[in-house]
Amino acid sequence: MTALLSVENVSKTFSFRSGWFGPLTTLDALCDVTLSVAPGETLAVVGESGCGKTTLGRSIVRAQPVTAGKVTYRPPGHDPVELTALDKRTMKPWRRDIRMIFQDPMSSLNPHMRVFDIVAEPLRIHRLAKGHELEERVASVLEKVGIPSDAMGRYPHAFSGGQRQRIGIARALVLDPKLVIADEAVSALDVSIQAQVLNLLEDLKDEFGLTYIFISHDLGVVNYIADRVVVMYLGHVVENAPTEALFERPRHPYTEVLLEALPIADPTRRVRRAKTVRGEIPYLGSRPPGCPFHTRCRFAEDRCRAERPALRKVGEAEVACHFAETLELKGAYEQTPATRTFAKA
Amino acid sequence: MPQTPMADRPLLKIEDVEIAFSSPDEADIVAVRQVDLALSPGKTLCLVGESGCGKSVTARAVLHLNDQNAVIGRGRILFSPPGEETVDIAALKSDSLALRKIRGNQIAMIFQEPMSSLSPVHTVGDQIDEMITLHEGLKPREARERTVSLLDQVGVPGPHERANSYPFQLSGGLRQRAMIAMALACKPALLIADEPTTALDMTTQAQILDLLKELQEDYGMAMLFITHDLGVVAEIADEVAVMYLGDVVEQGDVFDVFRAPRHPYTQALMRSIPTIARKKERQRLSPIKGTVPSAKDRPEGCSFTSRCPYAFEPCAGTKPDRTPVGNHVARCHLLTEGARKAEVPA
Repeated sequence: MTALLSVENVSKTFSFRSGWFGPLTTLDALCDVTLSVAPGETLAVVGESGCGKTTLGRSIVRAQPVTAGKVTYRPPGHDPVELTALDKRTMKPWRRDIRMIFQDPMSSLNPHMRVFDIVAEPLRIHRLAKGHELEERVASVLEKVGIPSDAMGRYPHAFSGGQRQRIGIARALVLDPKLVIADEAVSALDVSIQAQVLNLLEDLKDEFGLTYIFISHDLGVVNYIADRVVVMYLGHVVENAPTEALFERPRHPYTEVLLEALPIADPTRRVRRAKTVRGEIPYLGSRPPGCPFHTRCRFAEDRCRAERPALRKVGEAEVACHFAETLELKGAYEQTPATRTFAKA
Repeated sequence: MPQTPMADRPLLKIEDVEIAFSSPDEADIVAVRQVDLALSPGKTLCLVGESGCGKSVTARAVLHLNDQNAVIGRGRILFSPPGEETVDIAALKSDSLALRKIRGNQIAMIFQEPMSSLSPVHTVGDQIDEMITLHEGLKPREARERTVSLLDQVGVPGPHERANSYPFQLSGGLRQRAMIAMALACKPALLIADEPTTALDMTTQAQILDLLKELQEDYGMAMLFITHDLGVVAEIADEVAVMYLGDVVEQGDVFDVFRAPRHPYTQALMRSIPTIARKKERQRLSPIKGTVPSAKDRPEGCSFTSRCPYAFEPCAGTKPDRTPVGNHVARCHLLTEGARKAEVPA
């Protein structure tokens, strides 16, 4: 199947000066990132802070220009569009198809606007509806995400965190998008509310035939919702694999480290960690040469310090590691599959 | 683990504590309505619950760190350090000498956000030195030696140099390590950790959890660990207490509570987190309906009534008693009155 969206060799460099006359510093937030998402797929992008996952999302929606590479969108029944080549005006129609949901439901909603206006704004900007029709569309999308339409006249502060996140989702969906980029959309929510929003996202996906790029740091959530997972480290894609394959047998040592660090809510699976986690994430500005992960990798050899591994196909996965074929890494699933029997007293 | 003659005496016993916040133009808000906890020396008790359930307020009350308008309305907080008399911390004044002797010395605390809990204008080393000189009366030079060895012990690389850096010069993980070093400076009998890993990255969180476990073995201290993450609870706790809207609804041995949760809230909480399972074993999440009501609207009886799928007549009006179930206790009417009427469905 052709990809709905593909990102090819995208790099993004931020440069800034410390002080007026200070030296120009550059930070490579994204290095040569390549990935694609198929129609109807949920692609998760995971990694720790500073790995570039948010920058990637923002680059796709053109919230900021990329330094190199291209992002191609293939709308169904239309010629492919290279989003990175568009300017502000020619990009505008495509913004209807690609929408974003943000992490913090408090800061992503304008406190001075009523919920109705927040959700109606995209329709007004794109001149898609007005008057009675506008009202109806807003009410129906709010109903879909579980906000009673008689609450439309209220301001965001009158809603709880989970409800605000629903409003953010309604704002993204009101334009009938094809692709939704959810940037840590459930991270700020309490677990019971998080479950509500995750279920909502799944239902909406089925109902509207959506494709998701789900940016998250929570591997538990990712295992639940994603079809495929892209693992990023220091601006690089280090592994890209179907969810189950990745959790069953990671191919990149960093993926193994992430899986091992994941606390599993079952005390009987408590194990002493093998201490595969070493050191801390290096500062982006001082990215090591060679493989970005070699400073913390327990398998690192001279080759890793000198030569940057390219992303290549290993089994079902794409991995950027020199030794991906030979490494036997530990996954996160239980070794003997047994039905979990929590909560069954 | 050092054995004291009174090893079976709980180190910390919180009895029927209520904490209310007063405000000049509103009715008092009872943030914590009923908390009973007991923590044995050398053990880890996890307080778990969603935001606003009163877990942090409870933990802070142990050291009188809540805001001025917080009043412990009822109950006792009994602290029994090894080989010493039991003191009721709830009865002490927050600026009394007796409490200042305990705070930081016998009971230490670490916080969620190391950046905002460390002083930005003092070096990390100076801040740890201060603890040691204050509580143990060491000379500055001796204190610094101890500081450096503490930093080394908590895994700060280059402890000599790092002691001279300011918090902003350290990464999140290193700051948290520095704060742990500070908390350990006086070899506390009890460490209170308020979401110490929530603000950290995943791999750093794993490192800090491992570090805390190691240090606990070395120092033989007890830990009161506050978190919202059931995964962290499963990893670190000996005992767990589940809080909802100011009440402890279920508590006991962590293995027992996770294997057979009996309070509907605990059950629902566990069903709303995604399990790490293969696709064919994965189940749709069953979230808890609605949202946590505010403390003002808490029913007279069980606080979970408004969201509980099994609520029946006595729930809203009468507070359920502590009922032993297996190896732990829970507060739910289904477990007492309705024992025959309705087995708590799983």
